[in-house]
Amino acid sequence: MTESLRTTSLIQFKSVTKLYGKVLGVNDISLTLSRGAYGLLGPNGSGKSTLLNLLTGQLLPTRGSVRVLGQDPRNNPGLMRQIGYCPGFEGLYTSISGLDWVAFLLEMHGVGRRQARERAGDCMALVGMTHGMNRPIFDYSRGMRQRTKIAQAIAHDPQLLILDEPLSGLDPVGRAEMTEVFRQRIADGGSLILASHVLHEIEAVTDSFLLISGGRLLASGTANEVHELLFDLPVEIQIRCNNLQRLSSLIMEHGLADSVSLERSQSGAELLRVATRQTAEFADQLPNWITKYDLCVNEMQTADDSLQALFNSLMKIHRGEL
Amino acid sequence: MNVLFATVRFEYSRVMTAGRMTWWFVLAAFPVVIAGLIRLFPLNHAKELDTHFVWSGAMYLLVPCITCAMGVLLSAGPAIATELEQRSWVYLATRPNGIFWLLLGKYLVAVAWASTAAIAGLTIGVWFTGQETIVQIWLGMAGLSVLSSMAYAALFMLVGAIAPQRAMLFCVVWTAGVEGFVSLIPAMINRLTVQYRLRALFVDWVQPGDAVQDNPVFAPSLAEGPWYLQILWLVTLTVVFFATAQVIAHKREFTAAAESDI
Repeated sequence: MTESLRTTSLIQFKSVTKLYGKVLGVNDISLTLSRGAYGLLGPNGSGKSTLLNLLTGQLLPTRGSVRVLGQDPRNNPGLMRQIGYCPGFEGLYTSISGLDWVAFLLEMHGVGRRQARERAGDCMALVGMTHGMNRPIFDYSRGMRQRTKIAQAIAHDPQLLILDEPLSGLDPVGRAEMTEVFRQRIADGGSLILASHVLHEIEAVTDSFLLISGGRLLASGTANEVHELLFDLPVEIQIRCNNLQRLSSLIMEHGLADSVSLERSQSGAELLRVATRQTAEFADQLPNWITKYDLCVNEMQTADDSLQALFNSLMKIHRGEL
Repeated sequence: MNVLFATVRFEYSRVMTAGRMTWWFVLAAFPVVIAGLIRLFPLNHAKELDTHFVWSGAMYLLVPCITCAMGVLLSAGPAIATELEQRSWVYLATRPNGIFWLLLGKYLVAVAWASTAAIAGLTIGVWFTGQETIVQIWLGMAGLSVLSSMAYAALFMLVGAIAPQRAMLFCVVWTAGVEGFVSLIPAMINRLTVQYRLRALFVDWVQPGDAVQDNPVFAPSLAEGPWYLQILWLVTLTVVFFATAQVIAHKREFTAAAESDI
Protein backbone atom coordinates (compact mmCIF):
# COMPACT_ATOMS: atom_id res chain seq x y z
CA MET A 1 0.00 0.00 0.00
CA THR A 2 1.43 3.37 -0.94
CA GLU A 3 1.77 6.23 1.53
CA SER A 4 -0.95 8.25 -0.22
CA LEU A 5 -3.35 5.30 0.00
CA ARG A 6 -2.61 4.88 3.70
CA THR A 7 -3.25 8.53 4.46
CA THR A 8 -6.39 8.89 2.35
CA SER A 9 -9.52 8.88 4.48
CA LEU A 10 -11.72 5.84 4.19
CA ILE A 11 -14.96 7.75 3.83
CA GLN A 12 -15.83 11.39 3.59
CA PHE A 13 -19.39 12.69 3.60
CA LYS A 14 -19.83 16.44 3.19
CA SER A 15 -23.34 17.66 4.08
CA VAL A 16 -24.89 14.69 2.30
CA THR A 17 -28.64 14.59 1.92
CA LYS A 18 -30.53 11.98 -0.08
CA LEU A 19 -34.20 12.37 -0.90
CA TYR A 20 -36.46 9.78 -2.52
CA GLY A 21 -39.03 12.20 -3.84
CA LYS A 22 -40.36 13.67 -0.61
CA VAL A 23 -39.02 10.87 1.57
CA LEU A 24 -35.80 11.57 3.40
CA GLY A 25 -33.16 8.84 3.11
CA VAL A 26 -30.25 10.56 4.85
CA ASN A 27 -30.27 14.07 6.17
CA ASP A 28 -27.29 16.42 6.11
CA ILE A 29 -24.62 13.93 7.15
CA SER A 30 -21.04 15.16 7.47
CA LEU A 31 -18.48 12.59 8.42
CA THR A 32 -14.84 11.67 7.90
CA LEU A 33 -13.58 8.23 8.82
CA SER A 34 -10.03 6.99 8.71
CA ARG A 35 -9.19 3.41 7.76
CA GLY A 36 -10.47 0.77 10.14
CA ALA A 37 -13.60 -1.13 11.08
CA TYR A 38 -16.90 0.57 11.86
CA GLY A 39 -20.34 -0.59 12.80
CA LEU A 40 -23.25 1.30 11.29
CA LEU A 41 -26.00 0.97 13.82
CA GLY A 42 -29.59 2.03 13.59
CA PRO A 43 -33.14 0.74 13.68
CA ASN A 44 -34.92 -0.43 10.52
CA GLY A 45 -35.67 2.49 8.21
CA SER A 46 -32.99 4.67 9.81
CA GLY A 47 -31.07 5.25 6.55
CA LYS A 48 -28.38 2.56 6.80
CA SER A 49 -29.02 1.03 3.38
CA THR A 50 -29.22 4.46 1.76
CA LEU A 51 -25.87 5.35 3.29
CA LEU A 52 -24.32 2.13 1.99
CA ASN A 53 -25.82 2.69 -1.47
CA LEU A 54 -24.26 6.15 -1.49
CA LEU A 55 -20.92 4.58 -0.54
CA THR A 56 -21.08 2.05 -3.37
CA GLY A 57 -22.14 4.69 -5.90
CA GLN A 58 -25.55 3.14 -6.50
CA LEU A 59 -27.18 6.35 -5.38
CA LEU A 60 -26.23 9.94 -6.02
CA PRO A 61 -26.59 12.38 -3.13
CA THR A 62 -29.32 14.95 -3.65
CA ARG A 63 -26.99 17.43 -1.96
CA GLY A 64 -23.40 17.26 -0.77
CA SER A 65 -20.57 14.99 -1.82
CA VAL A 66 -19.38 11.48 -1.02
CA ARG A 67 -15.79 10.26 -1.24
CA VAL A 68 -14.66 6.71 -0.64
CA LEU A 69 -10.90 6.13 -0.43
CA GLY A 70 -10.59 9.69 -1.74
CA GLN A 71 -12.66 9.04 -4.86
CA ASP A 72 -16.19 9.67 -6.12
CA PRO A 73 -17.83 6.24 -6.01
CA ARG A 74 -20.30 6.86 -8.84
CA ASN A 75 -19.38 4.88 -12.01
CA ASN A 76 -15.81 4.52 -10.81
CA PRO A 77 -14.26 1.23 -12.07
CA GLY A 78 -10.99 1.85 -10.20
CA LEU A 79 -12.77 2.21 -6.89
CA MET A 80 -15.01 -0.80 -7.52
CA ARG A 81 -11.86 -2.95 -7.59
CA GLN A 82 -11.17 -1.84 -4.01
CA ILE A 83 -14.67 -2.34 -2.63
CA GLY A 84 -16.50 -5.54 -1.72
CA TYR A 85 -20.22 -5.19 -1.13
CA CYS A 86 -22.63 -7.59 0.51
CA PRO A 87 -26.16 -6.14 0.19
CA GLY A 88 -28.89 -6.71 2.75
CA PHE A 89 -31.11 -8.62 0.32
CA GLU A 90 -30.41 -11.86 -1.54
CA GLY A 91 -30.66 -11.24 -5.29
CA LEU A 92 -28.73 -14.38 -6.21
CA TYR A 93 -29.23 -16.30 -9.46
CA THR A 94 -30.84 -19.45 -8.13
CA SER A 95 -30.33 -21.69 -11.16
CA ILE A 96 -26.52 -21.73 -10.93
CA SER A 97 -24.14 -22.98 -8.27
CA GLY A 98 -22.59 -20.74 -5.64
CA LEU A 99 -19.13 -21.53 -7.00
CA ASP A 100 -20.11 -20.50 -10.56
CA TRP A 101 -21.67 -17.29 -9.25
CA VAL A 102 -18.66 -16.23 -7.21
CA ALA A 103 -16.27 -17.25 -10.03
CA PHE A 104 -18.26 -15.22 -12.56
CA LEU A 105 -18.19 -12.12 -10.35
CA LEU A 106 -14.43 -12.57 -9.99
CA GLU A 107 -14.09 -12.80 -13.77
CA MET A 108 -15.86 -9.44 -13.96
CA HIS A 109 -12.81 -8.08 -12.16
CA GLY A 110 -10.69 -9.29 -15.06
CA VAL A 111 -9.46 -12.45 -13.33
CA GLY A 112 -8.86 -15.37 -15.73
CA ARG A 113 -11.36 -18.23 -15.73
CA ARG A 114 -9.20 -20.91 -14.12
CA GLN A 115 -7.78 -18.53 -11.53
CA ALA A 116 -11.29 -17.23 -10.78
CA ARG A 117 -12.61 -20.73 -10.10
CA GLU A 118 -9.67 -21.53 -7.83
CA ARG A 119 -10.02 -18.29 -5.90
CA ALA A 120 -13.83 -18.69 -5.72
CA GLY A 121 -13.35 -22.21 -4.33
CA ASP A 122 -10.97 -20.88 -1.68
CA CYS A 123 -13.43 -18.15 -0.67
CA MET A 124 -16.35 -20.58 -0.52
CA ALA A 125 -14.19 -22.76 1.74
CA LEU A 126 -13.35 -19.73 3.90
CA VAL A 127 -17.06 -19.10 4.53
CA GLY A 128 -17.70 -22.79 5.19
CA MET A 129 -19.38 -23.60 1.89
CA THR A 130 -17.10 -26.30 0.52
CA HIS A 131 -19.75 -28.99 0.83
CA GLY A 132 -22.48 -27.07 -1.01
CA MET A 133 -20.65 -24.87 -3.47
CA ASN A 134 -21.40 -27.03 -6.52
CA ARG A 135 -25.12 -27.29 -5.80
CA PRO A 136 -27.55 -24.82 -7.43
CA ILE A 137 -28.35 -21.87 -5.20
CA PHE A 138 -32.10 -22.67 -5.12
CA ASP A 139 -31.08 -25.67 -3.03
CA TYR A 140 -29.36 -23.49 -0.40
CA SER A 141 -30.71 -22.61 3.02
CA ARG A 142 -30.88 -18.94 3.95
CA GLY A 143 -27.66 -19.25 5.92
CA MET A 144 -25.86 -20.81 2.95
CA ARG A 145 -27.01 -17.98 0.69
CA GLN A 146 -25.74 -15.49 3.24
CA ARG A 147 -22.35 -17.20 3.29
CA THR A 148 -22.26 -17.14 -0.53
CA LYS A 149 -23.00 -13.40 -0.49
CA ILE A 150 -20.12 -12.86 1.92
CA ALA A 151 -17.84 -15.00 -0.30
CA GLN A 152 -18.56 -12.85 -3.39
CA ALA A 153 -17.84 -9.70 -1.38
CA ILE A 154 -14.39 -10.84 -0.19
CA ALA A 155 -13.34 -12.89 -3.25
CA HIS A 156 -11.42 -10.10 -5.00
CA ASP A 157 -9.67 -9.15 -1.76
CA PRO A 158 -11.03 -5.60 -1.51
CA GLN A 159 -9.52 -2.92 0.71
CA LEU A 160 -12.95 -1.94 1.99
CA LEU A 161 -15.74 -4.39 2.79
CA ILE A 162 -19.24 -2.93 2.98
CA LEU A 163 -21.64 -5.34 4.64
CA ASP A 164 -25.36 -4.75 5.05
CA GLU A 165 -26.83 -7.04 7.73
CA PRO A 166 -24.32 -9.79 6.85
CA LEU A 167 -25.24 -12.11 9.70
CA SER A 168 -29.01 -12.19 9.25
CA GLY A 169 -30.29 -15.67 8.54
CA LEU A 170 -27.22 -17.36 10.00
CA ASP A 171 -27.40 -19.74 12.95
CA PRO A 172 -25.26 -19.00 16.04
CA VAL A 173 -22.39 -21.15 14.75
CA GLY A 174 -22.53 -19.41 11.37
CA ARG A 175 -22.55 -16.01 13.07
CA ALA A 176 -19.48 -16.88 15.07
CA GLU A 177 -17.68 -18.21 11.99
CA MET A 178 -18.48 -15.19 9.83
CA THR A 179 -17.60 -12.82 12.67
CA GLU A 180 -14.20 -14.51 12.81
CA VAL A 181 -13.80 -14.03 9.03
CA PHE A 182 -14.48 -10.30 9.45
CA ARG A 183 -12.11 -10.03 12.41
CA GLN A 184 -9.38 -11.74 10.44
CA ARG A 185 -9.79 -9.26 7.59
CA ILE A 186 -9.52 -6.38 10.05
CA ALA A 187 -6.45 -7.97 11.60
CA ASP A 188 -4.93 -8.23 8.11
CA GLY A 189 -5.32 -4.47 7.67
CA GLY A 190 -8.59 -4.39 5.76
CA SER A 191 -11.27 -1.80 6.39
CA LEU A 192 -14.85 -2.72 7.03
CA ILE A 193 -18.24 -1.10 7.46
CA LEU A 194 -20.85 -3.36 8.95
CA ALA A 195 -24.46 -2.21 9.06
CA SER A 196 -26.79 -3.87 11.49
CA HIS A 197 -29.69 -3.17 13.80
CA VAL A 198 -28.38 -5.83 16.21
CA LEU A 199 -25.89 -4.32 18.62
CA HIS A 200 -24.01 -7.39 19.70
CA GLU A 201 -23.27 -8.29 16.07
CA ILE A 202 -21.34 -5.04 15.76
CA GLU A 203 -19.77 -5.25 19.21
CA ALA A 204 -18.37 -8.66 18.28
CA VAL A 205 -16.50 -7.16 15.32
CA THR A 206 -15.57 -3.62 16.30
CA ASP A 207 -15.95 -1.04 19.05
CA SER A 208 -16.08 1.90 16.63
CA PHE A 209 -19.50 2.72 15.42
CA LEU A 210 -21.80 5.21 13.80
CA LEU A 211 -25.28 5.63 15.18
CA ILE A 212 -27.91 6.65 12.67
CA SER A 213 -31.59 7.28 13.08
CA GLY A 214 -34.16 9.11 10.99
CA GLY A 215 -31.51 9.64 8.33
CA ARG A 216 -29.31 11.60 10.74
CA LEU A 217 -26.01 10.66 12.25
CA LEU A 218 -26.53 10.69 16.01
CA ALA A 219 -22.97 9.94 17.05
CA SER A 220 -19.75 8.39 15.86
CA GLY A 221 -16.60 7.09 17.51
CA THR A 222 -15.78 4.37 20.00
CA ALA A 223 -18.18 3.45 22.76
CA ASN A 224 -15.97 5.29 25.28
CA GLU A 225 -15.88 8.44 23.17
CA VAL A 226 -19.64 8.54 22.90
CA HIS A 227 -19.99 7.86 26.62
CA GLU A 228 -17.94 10.99 27.25
CA LEU A 229 -20.42 12.96 25.18
CA LEU A 230 -23.14 11.67 27.44
CA PHE A 231 -21.27 12.45 30.67
CA ASP A 232 -23.60 15.23 31.73
CA LEU A 233 -26.78 13.40 30.90
CA PRO A 234 -29.11 12.09 33.62
CA VAL A 235 -28.77 8.46 34.66
CA GLU A 236 -31.92 6.40 34.84
CA ILE A 237 -32.44 4.34 37.99
CA GLN A 238 -35.23 1.79 38.38
CA ILE A 239 -36.39 1.00 41.90
CA ARG A 240 -38.88 -1.44 43.37
CA CYS A 241 -39.73 -1.02 47.10
CA ASN A 242 -42.59 -1.34 49.58
CA ASN A 243 -43.51 2.37 49.51
CA LEU A 244 -42.74 3.94 46.16
CA GLN A 245 -45.02 6.93 46.77
CA ARG A 246 -43.07 7.90 49.88
CA LEU A 247 -39.72 7.38 48.17
CA SER A 248 -40.70 9.45 45.13
CA SER A 249 -41.86 12.34 47.30
CA LEU A 250 -38.58 12.24 49.27
CA ILE A 251 -36.56 12.37 46.05
CA MET A 252 -38.53 15.36 44.78
CA GLU A 253 -38.39 17.17 48.17
CA HIS A 254 -34.58 16.91 48.15
CA GLY A 255 -34.39 18.00 44.48
CA LEU A 256 -32.37 14.96 43.52
CA ALA A 257 -34.14 14.06 40.29
CA ASP A 258 -34.73 15.56 36.87
CA SER A 259 -37.82 13.39 36.53
CA VAL A 260 -39.63 10.70 38.48
CA SER A 261 -42.26 8.38 37.12
CA LEU A 262 -44.26 5.65 38.74
CA GLU A 263 -45.16 2.71 36.51
CA ARG A 264 -47.32 -0.34 37.02
CA SER A 265 -46.52 -3.54 35.15
CA GLN A 266 -49.16 -5.94 33.76
CA SER A 267 -48.72 -8.16 36.82
CA GLY A 268 -49.57 -5.19 39.04
CA ALA A 269 -46.05 -4.62 40.41
CA GLU A 270 -45.01 -1.00 40.70
CA LEU A 271 -41.72 0.45 39.51
CA LEU A 272 -40.19 3.87 40.11
CA ARG A 273 -38.05 5.38 37.35
CA VAL A 274 -35.77 8.17 38.46
CA ALA A 275 -33.66 10.25 36.08
CA THR A 276 -30.92 12.03 38.03
CA ARG A 277 -27.62 13.82 37.47
CA GLN A 278 -26.86 13.73 41.22
CA THR A 279 -26.10 10.04 41.53
CA ALA A 280 -23.60 10.49 44.36
CA GLU A 281 -26.02 12.49 46.53
CA PHE A 282 -28.77 10.04 45.73
CA ALA A 283 -26.56 7.12 46.78
CA ASP A 284 -25.75 8.94 50.08
CA GLN A 285 -29.37 9.74 50.89
CA LEU A 286 -31.03 6.45 50.06
CA PRO A 287 -29.67 4.42 53.05
CA ASN A 288 -30.77 7.20 55.41
CA TRP A 289 -34.32 7.14 54.01
CA ILE A 290 -34.47 3.37 54.22
CA THR A 291 -33.61 3.50 57.92
CA LYS A 292 -35.64 6.57 58.82
CA TYR A 293 -38.87 5.70 56.93
CA ASP A 294 -38.67 1.92 57.19
CA LEU A 295 -38.43 1.45 53.43
CA CYS A 296 -37.66 -1.97 52.01
CA VAL A 297 -35.93 -1.75 48.62
CA ASN A 298 -36.44 -5.02 46.74
CA GLU A 299 -34.67 -4.10 43.55
CA MET A 300 -32.60 -1.22 42.23
CA GLN A 301 -30.82 -1.08 38.92
CA THR A 302 -29.38 1.46 36.54
CA ALA A 303 -29.38 1.09 32.79
CA ASP A 304 -26.41 -1.12 32.01
CA ASP A 305 -23.23 0.14 30.46
CA SER A 306 -23.61 -1.65 27.15
CA LEU A 307 -23.94 -0.17 23.70
CA GLN A 308 -27.67 -0.74 24.04
CA ALA A 309 -27.85 1.75 26.92
CA LEU A 310 -25.81 4.22 24.95
CA PHE A 311 -27.99 3.81 21.92
CA ASN A 312 -31.16 4.27 24.01
CA SER A 313 -29.76 7.52 25.45
CA LEU A 314 -28.84 8.86 22.03
CA MET A 315 -32.24 7.99 20.64
CA LYS A 316 -33.86 9.87 23.54
CA ILE A 317 -31.72 12.92 22.84
CA HIS A 318 -32.67 12.69 19.16
CA ARG A 319 -36.35 12.58 20.07
CA GLY A 320 -35.93 15.49 22.49
CA GLU A 321 -36.75 13.38 25.55
CA LEU A 322 -33.48 14.23 27.30
CA MET B 1 -11.97 -9.01 -23.50
CA ASN B 2 -11.86 -11.68 -20.79
CA VAL B 3 -14.69 -9.91 -19.04
CA LEU B 4 -16.77 -9.85 -22.24
CA PHE B 5 -16.21 -13.57 -22.82
CA ALA B 6 -17.09 -14.29 -19.20
CA THR B 7 -20.28 -12.25 -19.38
CA VAL B 8 -21.38 -13.79 -22.69
CA ARG B 9 -20.60 -17.29 -21.45
CA PHE B 10 -22.47 -16.67 -18.22
CA GLU B 11 -25.50 -15.13 -19.93
CA TYR B 12 -25.50 -17.90 -22.51
CA SER B 13 -25.55 -20.54 -19.77
CA ARG B 14 -28.55 -18.75 -18.28
CA VAL B 15 -30.55 -18.94 -21.54
CA MET B 16 -29.81 -22.64 -21.93
CA THR B 17 -32.67 -23.58 -19.62
CA ALA B 18 -35.61 -25.77 -20.59
CA GLY B 19 -38.03 -22.82 -20.54
CA ARG B 20 -35.85 -20.55 -22.69
CA MET B 21 -35.03 -23.36 -25.12
CA THR B 22 -38.74 -24.11 -25.51
CA TRP B 23 -39.28 -20.50 -26.52
CA TRP B 24 -36.38 -20.77 -28.94
CA PHE B 25 -38.04 -23.78 -30.64
CA VAL B 26 -41.42 -22.00 -30.71
CA LEU B 27 -39.79 -19.02 -32.43
CA ALA B 28 -37.94 -21.22 -34.90
CA ALA B 29 -41.13 -23.17 -35.64
CA PHE B 30 -43.20 -20.05 -36.29
CA PRO B 31 -42.04 -19.29 -39.87
CA VAL B 32 -41.99 -23.02 -40.66
CA VAL B 33 -45.61 -23.53 -39.61
CA ILE B 34 -46.89 -20.40 -41.40
CA ALA B 35 -44.95 -21.19 -44.59
CA GLY B 36 -46.31 -24.75 -44.46
CA LEU B 37 -49.88 -23.45 -44.08
CA ILE B 38 -49.39 -21.06 -47.02
CA ARG B 39 -48.16 -23.97 -49.10
CA LEU B 40 -51.05 -26.21 -48.03
CA PHE B 41 -53.80 -23.63 -48.40
CA PRO B 42 -52.81 -21.20 -51.17
CA LEU B 43 -55.11 -18.25 -51.82
CA ASN B 44 -57.27 -18.53 -54.94
CA HIS B 45 -55.90 -15.42 -56.58
CA ALA B 46 -52.27 -16.29 -55.62
CA LYS B 47 -51.82 -18.08 -58.92
CA GLU B 48 -52.16 -14.73 -60.68
CA LEU B 49 -49.27 -13.28 -58.63
CA ASP B 50 -45.55 -13.69 -59.13
CA THR B 51 -44.72 -16.59 -56.75
CA HIS B 52 -41.21 -15.28 -56.05
CA PHE B 53 -42.79 -11.97 -54.96
CA VAL B 54 -45.33 -13.75 -52.75
CA TRP B 55 -42.85 -16.13 -51.11
CA SER B 56 -40.01 -13.68 -50.63
CA GLY B 57 -42.48 -11.14 -49.19
CA ALA B 58 -43.94 -13.76 -46.86
CA MET B 59 -40.52 -14.92 -45.69
CA TYR B 60 -39.41 -11.31 -45.13
CA LEU B 61 -42.47 -10.67 -42.96
CA LEU B 62 -42.15 -13.96 -41.07
CA VAL B 63 -38.40 -14.13 -40.44
CA PRO B 64 -36.56 -10.77 -40.10
CA CYS B 65 -39.69 -8.84 -39.12
CA ILE B 66 -41.68 -11.08 -36.78
CA THR B 67 -39.34 -13.88 -35.60
CA CYS B 68 -36.32 -11.64 -35.02
CA ALA B 69 -38.32 -8.85 -33.41
CA MET B 70 -40.15 -11.34 -31.17
CA GLY B 71 -36.88 -13.05 -30.28
CA VAL B 72 -35.13 -9.91 -29.12
CA LEU B 73 -38.33 -8.66 -27.52
CA LEU B 74 -38.21 -11.69 -25.24
CA SER B 75 -34.48 -11.52 -24.53
CA ALA B 76 -33.24 -7.92 -24.84
CA GLY B 77 -36.43 -6.06 -23.81
CA PRO B 78 -36.51 -7.24 -20.19
CA ALA B 79 -32.70 -7.45 -19.83
CA ILE B 80 -32.46 -4.69 -17.23
CA ALA B 81 -35.88 -5.32 -15.66
CA THR B 82 -35.10 -8.95 -14.78
CA GLU B 83 -31.88 -7.96 -12.99
CA LEU B 84 -33.72 -5.26 -11.06
CA GLU B 85 -36.66 -7.50 -10.20
CA GLN B 86 -34.51 -10.29 -8.84
CA ARG B 87 -32.26 -7.69 -7.21
CA SER B 88 -29.07 -9.03 -8.77
CA TRP B 89 -28.27 -5.69 -10.43
CA VAL B 90 -26.22 -4.36 -7.53
CA TYR B 91 -23.81 -7.33 -7.54
CA LEU B 92 -22.90 -6.53 -11.15
CA ALA B 93 -23.06 -2.75 -10.83
CA THR B 94 -20.43 -2.85 -8.08
CA ARG B 95 -17.87 -4.49 -10.40
CA PRO B 96 -15.46 -2.46 -12.54
CA ASN B 97 -17.51 -1.33 -15.58
CA GLY B 98 -20.02 -3.98 -14.50
CA ILE B 99 -23.05 -2.30 -16.07
CA PHE B 100 -21.29 -1.87 -19.42
CA TRP B 101 -20.21 -5.52 -19.64
CA LEU B 102 -23.54 -6.77 -18.38
CA LEU B 103 -25.51 -4.91 -21.05
CA LEU B 104 -23.04 -5.79 -23.79
CA GLY B 105 -23.09 -9.46 -22.81
CA LYS B 106 -26.87 -9.54 -22.65
CA TYR B 107 -27.09 -7.74 -25.99
CA LEU B 108 -24.80 -10.21 -27.79
CA VAL B 109 -26.59 -13.21 -26.31
CA ALA B 110 -29.98 -11.74 -27.26
CA VAL B 111 -28.82 -11.20 -30.85
CA ALA B 112 -27.41 -14.72 -31.05
CA TRP B 113 -30.52 -16.25 -29.46
CA ALA B 114 -32.99 -14.49 -31.77
CA SER B 115 -31.00 -14.68 -35.02
CA THR B 116 -30.20 -18.39 -34.64
CA ALA B 117 -33.90 -19.15 -34.04
CA ALA B 118 -34.80 -17.05 -37.09
CA ILE B 119 -32.18 -18.66 -39.34
CA ALA B 120 -33.14 -22.17 -38.14
CA GLY B 121 -36.79 -21.42 -38.95
CA LEU B 122 -35.79 -19.88 -42.27
CA THR B 123 -33.67 -22.89 -43.22
CA ILE B 124 -36.63 -25.25 -42.88
CA GLY B 125 -39.37 -22.83 -43.89
CA VAL B 126 -37.67 -21.80 -47.12
CA TRP B 127 -38.16 -25.32 -48.52
CA PHE B 128 -41.90 -24.73 -48.56
CA THR B 129 -41.43 -21.92 -51.08
CA GLY B 130 -40.51 -24.38 -53.84
CA GLN B 131 -38.79 -21.56 -55.68
CA GLU B 132 -35.78 -21.76 -57.94
CA THR B 133 -34.54 -18.68 -56.09
CA ILE B 134 -34.42 -20.55 -52.79
CA VAL B 135 -30.71 -19.81 -52.25
CA GLN B 136 -31.19 -16.13 -53.00
CA ILE B 137 -34.12 -15.97 -50.59
CA TRP B 138 -32.18 -17.84 -47.87
CA LEU B 139 -29.05 -15.71 -48.18
CA GLY B 140 -31.02 -12.45 -48.22
CA MET B 141 -33.21 -13.42 -45.27
CA ALA B 142 -30.28 -14.74 -43.22
CA GLY B 143 -28.41 -11.46 -43.64
CA LEU B 144 -31.56 -9.47 -42.87
CA SER B 145 -32.18 -11.65 -39.78
CA VAL B 146 -28.80 -10.81 -38.30
CA LEU B 147 -29.16 -7.09 -39.06
CA SER B 148 -32.75 -7.04 -37.80
CA SER B 149 -31.81 -8.83 -34.55
CA MET B 150 -28.88 -6.46 -33.97
CA ALA B 151 -30.94 -3.32 -34.53
CA TYR B 152 -34.07 -4.40 -32.67
CA ALA B 153 -32.06 -5.79 -29.73
CA ALA B 154 -30.37 -2.40 -29.32
CA LEU B 155 -33.70 -0.58 -29.70
CA PHE B 156 -35.45 -2.78 -27.14
CA MET B 157 -32.55 -2.49 -24.76
CA LEU B 158 -32.93 1.28 -24.96
CA VAL B 159 -36.67 1.03 -24.28
CA GLY B 160 -35.86 -1.31 -21.37
CA ALA B 161 -33.40 1.22 -19.95
CA ILE B 162 -35.93 4.06 -20.23
CA ALA B 163 -38.89 2.14 -18.80
CA PRO B 164 -37.67 -1.09 -17.18
CA GLN B 165 -40.92 -1.82 -15.36
CA ARG B 166 -43.00 -1.74 -18.55
CA ALA B 167 -40.29 -2.69 -21.03
CA MET B 168 -42.18 -5.40 -22.92
CA LEU B 169 -45.32 -3.30 -23.26
CA PHE B 170 -43.45 -0.24 -24.53
CA CYS B 171 -41.39 -2.38 -26.93
CA VAL B 172 -44.59 -3.78 -28.48
CA VAL B 173 -46.18 -0.34 -28.68
CA TRP B 174 -43.02 1.14 -30.24
CA THR B 175 -42.69 -1.69 -32.76
CA ALA B 176 -46.32 -1.46 -33.83
CA GLY B 177 -46.48 2.33 -33.87
CA VAL B 178 -43.08 3.39 -35.13
CA GLU B 179 -41.66 0.38 -36.97
CA GLY B 180 -45.03 -0.74 -38.31
CA PHE B 181 -46.76 2.54 -39.05
CA VAL B 182 -44.31 5.46 -39.04
CA SER B 183 -41.82 3.58 -41.24
CA LEU B 184 -44.43 3.58 -44.01
CA ILE B 185 -45.05 7.33 -43.85
CA PRO B 186 -43.30 8.93 -46.82
CA ALA B 187 -41.60 11.66 -44.80
CA MET B 188 -38.24 12.38 -43.19
CA ILE B 189 -39.22 10.61 -39.97
CA ASN B 190 -39.40 7.17 -41.55
CA ARG B 191 -35.69 7.37 -42.38
CA LEU B 192 -34.94 6.94 -38.68
CA THR B 193 -36.72 3.58 -38.48
CA VAL B 194 -35.11 0.16 -38.76
CA GLN B 195 -37.84 -1.12 -41.09
CA TYR B 196 -37.15 1.58 -43.68
CA ARG B 197 -33.57 0.29 -44.08
CA LEU B 198 -34.44 -3.40 -43.85
CA ARG B 199 -37.06 -3.05 -46.61
CA ALA B 200 -34.51 -1.40 -48.91
CA LEU B 201 -32.05 -4.23 -48.29
CA PHE B 202 -34.81 -6.79 -48.88
CA VAL B 203 -35.62 -5.26 -52.25
CA ASP B 204 -31.93 -5.00 -53.15
CA TRP B 205 -30.86 -8.49 -52.05
CA VAL B 206 -33.92 -10.66 -52.73
CA GLN B 207 -35.26 -8.79 -55.79
CA PRO B 208 -38.95 -9.51 -55.11
CA GLY B 209 -39.94 -7.94 -58.41
CA ASP B 210 -41.37 -4.75 -59.79
CA ALA B 211 -44.57 -5.24 -57.83
CA VAL B 212 -42.89 -3.64 -54.80
CA GLN B 213 -40.96 -0.83 -56.47
CA ASP B 214 -43.97 0.13 -58.62
CA ASN B 215 -46.50 -0.11 -55.82
CA PRO B 216 -47.79 3.44 -55.05
CA VAL B 217 -48.00 2.62 -51.32
CA PHE B 218 -44.63 0.90 -50.82
CA ALA B 219 -42.45 2.74 -53.33
CA PRO B 220 -42.21 6.03 -51.34
CA SER B 221 -41.32 4.10 -48.20
CA LEU B 222 -38.29 2.39 -49.71
CA ALA B 223 -34.91 3.86 -48.94
CA GLU B 224 -32.81 4.93 -51.87
CA GLY B 225 -29.10 4.32 -52.20
CA PRO B 226 -26.81 1.30 -52.38
CA TRP B 227 -27.00 -1.63 -49.92
CA TYR B 228 -23.87 -0.65 -48.04
CA LEU B 229 -25.38 2.73 -47.27
CA GLN B 230 -28.43 1.00 -45.76
CA ILE B 231 -26.15 -1.24 -43.68
CA LEU B 232 -24.22 1.82 -42.54
CA TRP B 233 -27.50 3.38 -41.47
CA LEU B 234 -28.54 0.24 -39.61
CA VAL B 235 -25.20 -0.04 -37.84
CA THR B 236 -25.38 3.65 -36.92
CA LEU B 237 -28.90 3.26 -35.53
CA THR B 238 -27.80 0.15 -33.60
CA VAL B 239 -24.79 1.91 -32.08
CA VAL B 240 -26.85 4.99 -31.18
CA PHE B 241 -29.60 2.92 -29.56
CA PHE B 242 -27.15 0.75 -27.62
CA ALA B 243 -24.92 3.64 -26.54
CA THR B 244 -27.96 5.60 -25.35
CA ALA B 245 -29.14 2.56 -23.38
CA GLN B 246 -25.69 2.38 -21.76
CA VAL B 247 -25.69 6.07 -20.88
CA ILE B 248 -29.15 5.84 -19.34
CA ALA B 249 -28.24 2.70 -17.37
CA HIS B 250 -25.14 4.45 -16.00
CA LYS B 251 -26.94 7.70 -15.20
CA ARG B 252 -30.06 6.28 -13.57
CA GLU B 253 -30.14 5.15 -9.96
CA PHE B 254 -31.18 1.56 -10.55
CA THR B 255 -30.60 0.67 -6.94
CA ALA B 256 -32.68 -1.99 -5.31
CA ALA B 257 -32.99 0.26 -2.29
CA ALA B 258 -36.62 1.17 -2.55
CA GLU B 259 -38.10 3.53 -0.04
CA SER B 260 -39.00 0.54 2.09
CA ASP B 261 -35.31 -0.35 2.34
CA ILE B 262 -34.11 3.03 3.60
